[in-house]
Amino acid sequence: MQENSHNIRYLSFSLGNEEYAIPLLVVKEVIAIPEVTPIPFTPNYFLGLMNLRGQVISVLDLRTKLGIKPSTSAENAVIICDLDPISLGVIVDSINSVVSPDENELSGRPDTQNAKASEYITNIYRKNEKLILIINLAKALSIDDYKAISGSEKAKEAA
Amino acid sequence: MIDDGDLRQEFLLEAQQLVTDTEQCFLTLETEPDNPSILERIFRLAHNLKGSAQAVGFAQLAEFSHKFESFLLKLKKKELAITPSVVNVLLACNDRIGVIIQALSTDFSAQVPIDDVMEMIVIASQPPSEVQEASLEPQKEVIAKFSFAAEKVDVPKAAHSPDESIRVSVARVERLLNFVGELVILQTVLNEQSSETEHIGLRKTVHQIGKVTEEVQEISMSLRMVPLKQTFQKLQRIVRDTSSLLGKKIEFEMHGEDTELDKSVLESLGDPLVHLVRNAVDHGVESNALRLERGKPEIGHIALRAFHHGGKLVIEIEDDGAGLDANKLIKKAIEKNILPPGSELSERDAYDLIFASGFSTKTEVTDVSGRGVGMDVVKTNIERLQGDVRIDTALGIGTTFRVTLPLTLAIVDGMVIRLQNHRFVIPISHVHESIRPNPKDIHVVSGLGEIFDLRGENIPMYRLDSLLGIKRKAIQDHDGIVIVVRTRVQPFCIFVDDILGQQQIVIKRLGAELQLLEGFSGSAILGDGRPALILELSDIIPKSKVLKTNDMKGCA
Repeated sequence: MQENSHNIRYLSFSLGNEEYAIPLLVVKEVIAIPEVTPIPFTPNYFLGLMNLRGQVISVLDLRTKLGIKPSTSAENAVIICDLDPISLGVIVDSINSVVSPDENELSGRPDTQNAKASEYITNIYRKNEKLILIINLAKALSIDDYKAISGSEKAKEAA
Repeated sequence: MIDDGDLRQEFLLEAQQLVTDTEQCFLTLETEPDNPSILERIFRLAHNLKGSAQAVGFAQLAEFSHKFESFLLKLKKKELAITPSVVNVLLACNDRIGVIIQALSTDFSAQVPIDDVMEMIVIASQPPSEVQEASLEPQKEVIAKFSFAAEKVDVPKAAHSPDESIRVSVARVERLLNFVGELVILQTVLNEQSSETEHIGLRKTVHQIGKVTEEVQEISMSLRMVPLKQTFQKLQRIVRDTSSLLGKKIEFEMHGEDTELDKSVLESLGDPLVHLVRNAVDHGVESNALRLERGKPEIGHIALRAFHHGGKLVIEIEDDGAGLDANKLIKKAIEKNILPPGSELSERDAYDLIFASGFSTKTEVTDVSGRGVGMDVVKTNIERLQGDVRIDTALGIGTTFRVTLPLTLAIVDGMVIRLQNHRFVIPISHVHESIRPNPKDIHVVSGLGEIFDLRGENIPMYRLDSLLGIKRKAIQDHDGIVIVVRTRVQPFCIFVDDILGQQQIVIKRLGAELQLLEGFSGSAILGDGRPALILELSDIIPKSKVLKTNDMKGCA
């Protein structure tokens, strides 16, 4: 148990029948699905804008983004994440637990044909015969795409 | 434990401020070389810089500011006279310190070449012998002038008196404003709920809380307000540098540099103002020789004024130069294919031609004003700030550019409109009028889309649902509302389902994930606590169509 305090902690959640986890450090809070205002011209996984105590943030559906069928139980939750400098609400099927795997319980991502998926999966945690995929949320949501483009737009404005 | 990096960042922020302060002092020094208190102040600032730079371990900066300080010491001891060339050296040094600070803020171990400036100091430090002799006499004069200068001395002294202020990060102020915005929304809800209660005491308290909330909102909004001073100082420097580059003698005066403006507005205002001022020096004021020929005072004059007027901020840039010639402008515009041949324009419209893209009245592009950014960018930038720029000019007498801006962009009056079950906000300043249309006034013109006949004026009309790509069942024309927008050269109108009301809205910027989204300038939280997008109407209407109608106007 002593050792565990040095391990990175992750929040694990379900998407469909699969289990995923993200570093607990990026999680600010977990809330129920709020009312959202749809945003025109955005991809289908952009659910809309929500009001988080005076702050307006975008809510994205991670299941749609990763092409995972939502589970039938309607036990959804929104994880409010702080992906500096962006704050986002991310919809998942259900929140499971906080896990803190030992170094030897983690294995690197597998070599698969699907290069895109292996980009955002950082590690695989094998826990009691179950696999938990540890993901980089910013990569899974292609955050860099927006940032890269907005950056170049700013550069254009400055020029 | 104090983080070394934090300490250094903190120092750099302060140093930046010091450099701006000293720059202002140098410029004053040039006009009042005999004012001892200014030199004293510069010396103190440089000394502070040296000390702090040493303390946090920026060796190069410390070394350079040490040399700078010794040079200043010579000026202070009157071993050197203050001449324009000396001030040039001082400004060059000050600029280099700014560069070093800039470099250090990205990389703590950055090195900036300083040899050339060091050499300038060495050369300037060797005074011709007669200056040294002569300097004995002015010294007496200075003592004599000292008492007489006393009232002028007050200004820098007052600035040095212990400043009762604290530095707060913008992020923190913004967080505060978020919560204040939330408070205001909850207050509206509370007001509504309490109006249904019979409890007199409760209603009274709610009313009182309402007053306090208003006050809190006002105070927190004022936290974002900053004086124009720094921007004006930058402009003063630009006038000085530009005019000496062009060999024109220009007198520059500024008024109202304490006028306050929202920080976010100010940040985007810097570039347009720089351009307008450069333009006044370069294109406005004639060369000294030409001025004499025209019977005007040899030295040109540029005035910069800022003041509040009717809840808006007005900035005027006035020059006593050649003025604009409407006929010449029209001729030029026709040559450049901006106007079709044979066009006739009112004088005011002709002046506005200088804001058309691809328009420059001077035949040769100069080093000073012709640096890519045109007057069209100035106008677009100011309009993006919900502002406006107007030209007053008299041929041979001078030109005044008058920039009008809202005091803050954080709160605007918004019109909430409905499209099916979607709600959007349009800044009221964009709405010229709104009308329930008579269906016979809406005409479909093939190739041009829909045209709305507004009391005989034909205005292109767009339906908001198709602009936003929202699929819905069409509503009857007489059930909707037409909103007329006249912020552009060409008016246009938007067809929406309904207007829900007007309210003051606190603008929230969209997150970085939505920066690509065009057509929306931000979001706002409405009375029921749900967010709505703020429409930037001129960004969502198809651009080609406006161009087409522009052409039509030219032919008419």
